[in-house]
Amino acid sequence: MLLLQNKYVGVARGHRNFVVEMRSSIHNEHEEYLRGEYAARVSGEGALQEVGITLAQAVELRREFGLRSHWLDPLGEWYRLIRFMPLDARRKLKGTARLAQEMYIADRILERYLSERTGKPQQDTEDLAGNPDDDWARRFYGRTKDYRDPEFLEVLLTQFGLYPGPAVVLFVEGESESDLFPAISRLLGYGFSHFGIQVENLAGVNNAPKVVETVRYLSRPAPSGAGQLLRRPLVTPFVVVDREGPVERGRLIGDMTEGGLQAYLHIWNRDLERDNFTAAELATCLKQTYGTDSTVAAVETWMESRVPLDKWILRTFDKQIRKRDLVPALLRLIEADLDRGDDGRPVVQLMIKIIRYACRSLPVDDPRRAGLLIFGH
Amino acid sequence: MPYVKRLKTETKRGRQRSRIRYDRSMSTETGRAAPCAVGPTFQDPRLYVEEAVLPEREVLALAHECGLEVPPNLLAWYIENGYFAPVIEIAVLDGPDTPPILGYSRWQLLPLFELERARHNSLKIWPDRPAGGQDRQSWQWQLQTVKPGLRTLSEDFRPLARARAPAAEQVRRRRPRTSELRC
Repeated sequence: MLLLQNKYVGVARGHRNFVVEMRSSIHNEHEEYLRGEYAARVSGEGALQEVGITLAQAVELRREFGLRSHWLDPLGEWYRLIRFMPLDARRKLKGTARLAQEMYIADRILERYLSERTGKPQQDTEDLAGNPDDDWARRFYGRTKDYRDPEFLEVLLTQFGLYPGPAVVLFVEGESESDLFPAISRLLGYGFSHFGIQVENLAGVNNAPKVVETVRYLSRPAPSGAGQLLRRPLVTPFVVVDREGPVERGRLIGDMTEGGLQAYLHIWNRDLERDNFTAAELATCLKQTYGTDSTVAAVETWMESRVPLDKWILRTFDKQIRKRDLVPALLRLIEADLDRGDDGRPVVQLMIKIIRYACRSLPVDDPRRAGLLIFGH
Repeated sequence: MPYVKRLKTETKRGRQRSRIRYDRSMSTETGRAAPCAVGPTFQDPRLYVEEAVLPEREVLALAHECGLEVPPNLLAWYIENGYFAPVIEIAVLDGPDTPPILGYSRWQLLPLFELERARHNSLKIWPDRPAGGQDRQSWQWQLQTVKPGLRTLSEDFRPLARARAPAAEQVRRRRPRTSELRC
């Protein structure tokens, strides 16, 4: 192993991002030795003859060495996960776990040498106790193990419940929604970050085709191999838009419906304010927030019209407002509802639905997701 | 490989690097490139030549990180009695009386771990008894009964040990005296 380590230890220690830099300060004697005598010693059967064992004995020796290393590893159940870590991270382990990592490197040196000598890939260290002709990973993961493939890392992270991707990506139209929705979630108990929900502000719906493509990409399940097992947990994109508005909004709704993505779409009957709050409530909120002299009758008149709220206030009261300033007042109304035990407001029901999507307690009605298997869920 | 080419053009010493490029003809791979993230240019064995062997201080520090508390005198006892051997002894040419520099391999931690486990498993201390009242078994005696698996595992180090320390091999095979069976 000492003989072989110069040639193989770089690859044996590396991980998938491993890149070596050349050293320029090597003496010429080393260069000559490595290119001459050393190369002759490690080529062909030279290394085995020098140690005095046959190839079959070397295979058996590697099997015993690898098995012993794996048995003494207290983190043996996490072998695949830890193997993906870079060398620096593995060397932060202490005690027997660190010893096992050192021995794994030795085992991989032998593994690479033997796979070159025998001409066929050798077993992974943790598989040495099993049948060499049985690729259990293909049956279990739907693919063979490859520690240089980030997609295999995705499978492992999913298996161990570590996949860091969001559970729900919520696309909203404006700043008021992106402020209001997480706040409602906090009123319900936990914030969006607790559930793995990300909010993306579309800032208008002018880029409708991009949104449809993003939703299509996010909603597509990522299988691991040919089976029904997923390499990463399902991500649920969700778009919340008003029904009324410019032409692009109609295009967005039309494209998503035609593309079979209507399960990921929520359309207010008119818009957020008109659907969720009464004229009296809005009149009070406007007065508190902007100091406008808005009566209930005036707000009722606005609700009958198709004018957005900010434009109506600009026209009626000659005042430039930001709609997101209204959010605290709206939240006070919702909080009072929840204190009474009333969660019937549509926006609260929508938040509960999205949280259930994030917790995967409510499946999305998408035929592409039927029958899929996922680790740990 | 475009990735390798990009690296080579970025470096200022590209001409010199290309002169000492790794020669594929010295590769043990016969025709088929091994699946590897780095190209054959970077699979150069000279990269690791300087840490092939470790001095005693470093190997004991590594053993400490791996949870093996081996003091130098215990290591010396293992070597003296043939259970362990350095992989290389470098003679100091300038000083004939100076003892040779011993080099160890980091892979020798596994035999060291097995030795330590055998020692820890066999040593039983009764804190309420005086030294004379302890068990008559000692770890030195227990090491004689180490399972054959340990010897198989040490096989790759054995030829080196045999070449370097034939006397130690004889000590290993010697039966312990009765006086050595005491603690």
